[in-house]
Amino acid sequence: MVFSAVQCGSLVTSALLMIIGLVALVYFDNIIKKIIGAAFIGDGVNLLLISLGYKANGIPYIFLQNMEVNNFLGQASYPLPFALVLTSIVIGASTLAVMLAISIVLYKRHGTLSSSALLNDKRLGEDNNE
Amino acid sequence: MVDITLLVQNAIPWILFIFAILGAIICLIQKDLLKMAVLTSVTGFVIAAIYQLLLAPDVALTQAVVGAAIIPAFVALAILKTREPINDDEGGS
Repeated sequence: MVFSAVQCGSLVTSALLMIIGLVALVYFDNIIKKIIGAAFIGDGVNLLLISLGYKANGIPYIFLQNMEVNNFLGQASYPLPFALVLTSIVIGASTLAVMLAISIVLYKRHGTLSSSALLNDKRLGEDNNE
Repeated sequence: MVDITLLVQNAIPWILFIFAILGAIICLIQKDLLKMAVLTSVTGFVIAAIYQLLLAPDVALTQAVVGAAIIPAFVALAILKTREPINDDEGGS
């Protein structure tokens, strides 16, 4: 499988986005920054899948009038990962909303968003609903 | 003679790649969390432009709405909810 130049650039970009997201997940202290890092990892994976369906000097996979079927099949980009990524973007946004809601609940119970302070909090593992 | 139009056309994807990575880094090194929430939209919108260049116009539309508007709004709402110190008599906000 031979990649074109734009395809290689987008693959490198997706790899760097995933690395930035992993660094943010591991080394940053604020929980909201960790959540943003997870969103960047999702963006990197989506960009990886999209760039695998690209075809150099191609056209979008929309069949219009006055198109030859054989030309269209030879030039159009591969549409299956695009249909999957379209779902994945929306699912990523909703999981980000759930993560932010859980962080709001954590802040209301413990009064902080720092993950090291949360891990040192003695009340974290207990059931205190009062 | 260098064809300037062809040069610009070849340079556009690489400029967008650099902007996506720089936007992610600059967003994550901010001290102020609200600035971070606004700068999240830079990466989302530039990635939408990259999708348009990679021949996926429908994915670009969805990513432009979700990445540039909805995710920064969610993050800004969460930051505004967790910014004030907790008052027990004022439930809610």
